[in-house]
This record gives sequence, C-alpha cells and structure tokens, in this order.
Amino acid sequence: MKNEKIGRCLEGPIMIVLGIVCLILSLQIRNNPVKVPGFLNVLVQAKMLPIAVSVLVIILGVILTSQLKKGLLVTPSMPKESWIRVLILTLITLVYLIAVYFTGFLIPTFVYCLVMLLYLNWKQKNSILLLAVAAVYTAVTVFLVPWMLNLNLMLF
Amino acid sequence: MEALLTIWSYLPDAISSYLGEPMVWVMLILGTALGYFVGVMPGLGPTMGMALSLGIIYRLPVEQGMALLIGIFVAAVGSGGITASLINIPGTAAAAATCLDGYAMVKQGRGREACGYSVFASVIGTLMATVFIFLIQPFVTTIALKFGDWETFLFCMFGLTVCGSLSGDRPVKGWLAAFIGFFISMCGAESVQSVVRYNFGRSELLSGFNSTVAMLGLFGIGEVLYTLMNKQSTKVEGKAGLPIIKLGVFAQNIANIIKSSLAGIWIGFIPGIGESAACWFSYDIARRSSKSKETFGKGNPEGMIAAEVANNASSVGALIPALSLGIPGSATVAIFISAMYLMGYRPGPTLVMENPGILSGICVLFVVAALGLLVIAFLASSVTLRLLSIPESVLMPLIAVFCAVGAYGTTNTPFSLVQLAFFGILGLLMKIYNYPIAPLVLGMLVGNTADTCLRRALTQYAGNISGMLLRPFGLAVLAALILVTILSIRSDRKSKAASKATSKVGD
Repeated sequence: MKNEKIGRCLEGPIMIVLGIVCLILSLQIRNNPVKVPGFLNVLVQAKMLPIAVSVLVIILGVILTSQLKKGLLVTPSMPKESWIRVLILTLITLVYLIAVYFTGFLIPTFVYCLVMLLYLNWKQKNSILLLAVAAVYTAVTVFLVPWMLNLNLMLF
Repeated sequence: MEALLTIWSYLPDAISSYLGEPMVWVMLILGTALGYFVGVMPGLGPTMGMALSLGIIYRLPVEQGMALLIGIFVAAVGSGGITASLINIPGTAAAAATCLDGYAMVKQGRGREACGYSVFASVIGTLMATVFIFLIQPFVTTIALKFGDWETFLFCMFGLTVCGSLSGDRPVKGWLAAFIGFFISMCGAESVQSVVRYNFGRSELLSGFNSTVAMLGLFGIGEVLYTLMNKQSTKVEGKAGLPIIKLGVFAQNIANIIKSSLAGIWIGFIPGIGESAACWFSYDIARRSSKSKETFGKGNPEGMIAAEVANNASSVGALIPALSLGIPGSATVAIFISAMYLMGYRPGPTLVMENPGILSGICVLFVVAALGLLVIAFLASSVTLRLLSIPESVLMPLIAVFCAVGAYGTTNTPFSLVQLAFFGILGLLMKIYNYPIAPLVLGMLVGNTADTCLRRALTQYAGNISGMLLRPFGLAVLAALILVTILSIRSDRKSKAASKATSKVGD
C-alpha cells in the first residue's frame, strides 16, 4: 500500500530530476564568442534561456510533487497487463527502427509487420492471411509509395 | 497598408493557377479522402494524417503539396463528428462535444440526421472562417509588421502560458510539457552567435531536432503504441445511409452559427489552445443562450451545430497567428507550418509580402476542400460503417511503418529513425501520464524564435531597456500575458478547492 502511494508521487520527483539534468546541460553551454558590455552580457548568453527554462521545470516539478502528495492530482495507474503489452509493442517497434538503421527497410519492415500482426491478432490464428497482409504492407510502404514519390529508400 | 490590401486582388490569379491545374484537383480529392479516413477512424486524426503526409509533400510541386495538405486538414477536422455521433467516440479530440447530442440522436434513430448536422456544420464553420481570414489577414499582417523582436518574444510566451493554463484541470502538466518542448527546441547551433547547445557530439543535431520527424514520432508512433496498448475493439451500431441535411434547422440557427464561428476563430487565434477547447467553449455558449437548455445532451441540433462550427472555425482561425507571426495556433497548424517550411515558404510577417498570392491560394483551397468534404461525406456514407469496423490491430502496424518511411524520407539520414524512436516513446509516455502534447509541440516550434528574438531585442536596446519595455504593442501583449497568468493561477486554485470539496463529499 505504501509502495503504491510512493509510486503515485514519483512523477513529480522525476520531473525535478529532469529539470536538474536540463540545468546541468545548460550550464555546460559555452559562453558567447562576442561580448556585450555590462550586465547585459549575462542576459544575452546562449545559455541564459535554457537555464531559465530548466529552473522553471524544477519549480513546476516541485509544484507537481506537492499537488500529487496532497491528492490534488493523481498519477494514472494502468493494469499490469497493459504495461506488459505496451512494453512488448514498444520493444518490437524499437528493434524495428534499430534494424532499419543497420540493415535497411526491406527485411525489417516485413518482419515487423508480420510480428506485430501475429502478436496483435493472436486469437485469429489465421497466420497465412496475416502473412499475406504483412507482404502487402511491405510492398506498399517499401516499393509502391517510394516509387510514386521518387523516394530513395535504403532497402538493404 | 495599401500594398497589403492589394493581396485581395490576387484572388482571380490564385483561382486560375491552383484550380486550373488538374493535378491540384487530384491531390485535393486524394487529400480530402485521406482526411475523411483519418478523421473518422478513432485513434487517428488530423495531426497524425497531416504528419504522415509531410514525408510526401516536399516531393510534390508547391500547389499540389498545399492541396494535399489542406484536403487532409479540412476533411479530418470536419469528419471527426461523424464518428462521435455514430459510435460515441470522437474521431478527433475536436469532436468531443459532438458526442453528447450526436450519439443521443443516433440512439433515437436519427443517425443520418446527426451525420448531416455534423458534416454541414463543419463545412459552414470552415467556409465562414476562411472568408474571415481572407478579409482580416492583411490587417493582422499590418499589425504583425509592427511587431519587433520583443513583441514576438512576448507573443511566444503568451502562447505557451495560455496553452499550459488551458490543459484541463492540470495546468502544471501543460506548462511542464510546454517548457520541455521549449528546451528541446534549443538543441543545436543557435542563430545569434552560433553557439552549439547540447548536440551530444552528434553532427546531425547541429541544426536541432527535425520538427517533421518529431511530429511523426509524437503523433504517429506514440499514438500507434498508445492505441494498441488496450485490447478494446470498436463496436459499430447504426445503419448506413446518406446524411440528411435539414436546411431549415440551419436557418433557425444563424445567430448560433455566427457566434460559434467567431468564438472558434478567436480561440484558434490564441496560440496553443486548439480546436478541442473551441468545441466545448462554443457548446457552452450555445447552451446558455438556448431557449431549450434542458434538451442539450439529449439530441439537440443546436449543440451539435455550435460544436462542429466552432471546432472547424478554430482550426482555420489558428492560421491567423501562423501566417502573420509564424506561431502556430494549434497542433494541426504546427504541422501546417512545418509543411510550409518544407515547401519553401517562411511563415511570418513578411510571408504575404514575399508571396502575395499565398493567402488567396490557401483560402481557395480551403473553400474547395470544404465543399469536397461535403461530397466525400455523401459518397462515403455507405462505407463509413465498414471503415469503422477495420480493427486497429490490423491498421496500426501499417501506420508505424509509414511513420518510419516518412521520417527517413524527410531527412534521408538513418539518424532520423533514432529521433523518431525518441519522440515516439516521449509521445507514448505523455499520453499514458496525461501530459498534453500540443503545448510540447508549441514549445518546440516557438522556443528557438523566442530565444533569438529576446536576445536580439536585448542587444538592440542595450542602452535603453525601458524603451523596449514601453513599446505600445509590447505593453499590450505583456498586459495580456500577466492577465492570463493571474487568471490561470486563480482558476487552478478554484479547481483545487472544488476537487477538495468533491473528495470531502466522497468521504
């Protein structure tokens, strides 16, 4: 029960950490090569607005934490089943994008379409139909559309 | 001023150059059909449809690209109400208010009537807003030309503040999204002194994140994953048939239509609010001023007309700040601006001076697309129920692949796939945790402009900062900015008090 309560309030601290990371990154930006006289030189630095925005993110993170703690805002909760499902789908999509990065569109696109269709339509058990749909999707996205638009797609 | 007013005289030229070319018609019809499809399909929508088309547009001649884009834009926003009425799920967020009376009508066996009100009100809203823009844009541009760097910076901040504060009952999340978008936009070499900001050693990031790829990730991959997260399947009820348009009802609602159009245009004009707020705002106005308040939500056409006119007028009205200042009024217009950049235009105060025929061209295409929507809605009425029956589990993988192809096609570098993955996961997490995506997009699009303008203004007024602060237009925007901030803090407090009271009652 206590763990669940902590989990519901975690969103705010995550935002604060994100703001701190942004602040550290902003502080590392080098100074402008051309100086402006006086105090104005501080305000016109390239790092000035990123620092200001990072501080605002931290402040808003603190406000969010306090609102979550008081119960004025609630972090949406999802059933474990939905989490597992979305994690699998995200993983498949990420693997697809990485595979395209290294091996081109042709084979990863067919495999991705097939795996996704099989996973999402598991109960239908009509794998031949899904195989055909995956082949059509691949043909349309990798050959037909790029050909129509004169797009040089990296096939391999 | 006179020079600006002459842009109206380009209307005949625009009609002949845009509509005289057969391929423009083909693209417009294709765009309208695609827009209808993405509009009626729950889980898709105008932003995703337009984002997907970005990968195609830059390959087409300007007129054809513009026709495709505007076709999708108008039809997708306009057809969302059909789904809202038929299955009680808004095809687009902008059609949420239409569910109330539209679905009630369907349950009463008046489904064809509901579709008729939805489509025809959408067409009227689009046409009225287009005429309004055509007439007012030269004047807005005249004012925008008087905007200096300081005013532009303040207007960007105004948009971000309003955008965040109108994120329902969670303005903090809206502002967080806006500032994170703002932060993301600052990646790469800035334009004042070419200082490189967090590119993580990647030369591909020297020009920052590609906004087109970001949109494809946020609205494409993110939406696909979010939609597939739940195993829900859409239940389709009702019978197919041609929409029924009762012109008499529209004639009785002229005052309602005018009020809703103006309210929609006004909401569209304020950056970042978007059409989804316009429909509720206008629905509320219509309910308050109606003689039959008690029938609202029970199948009253007044509510449907108000909501649909307003959301379409708002989507067109959002073009006013986009064309005159380069600041998008909504997420869909943010994509429209990206597309304009891809086509070689530079939205902002000088747009109509550099391209005097552009306003007339856009307006002509909007009018034809709106009429096209009416035709498509009639022709497709028999297949709409079948379209709604396509399982998302079959359709979504195709959309994910289109996003990948579109992202690669935009930059022709495999690194765009890394960006796509980043923004896809970001979009998914934002949807899961109820962070609005529109403020993030607005932050991304105006962040760099705001930074450049502020630093240029400060340098320009180095010895006379009070001179910068006391510029009349700047003062007006600053006053509006302060007012909005105060009002949103007050409304946040009120909503907190209300939620406390509700929880006490619940206890």
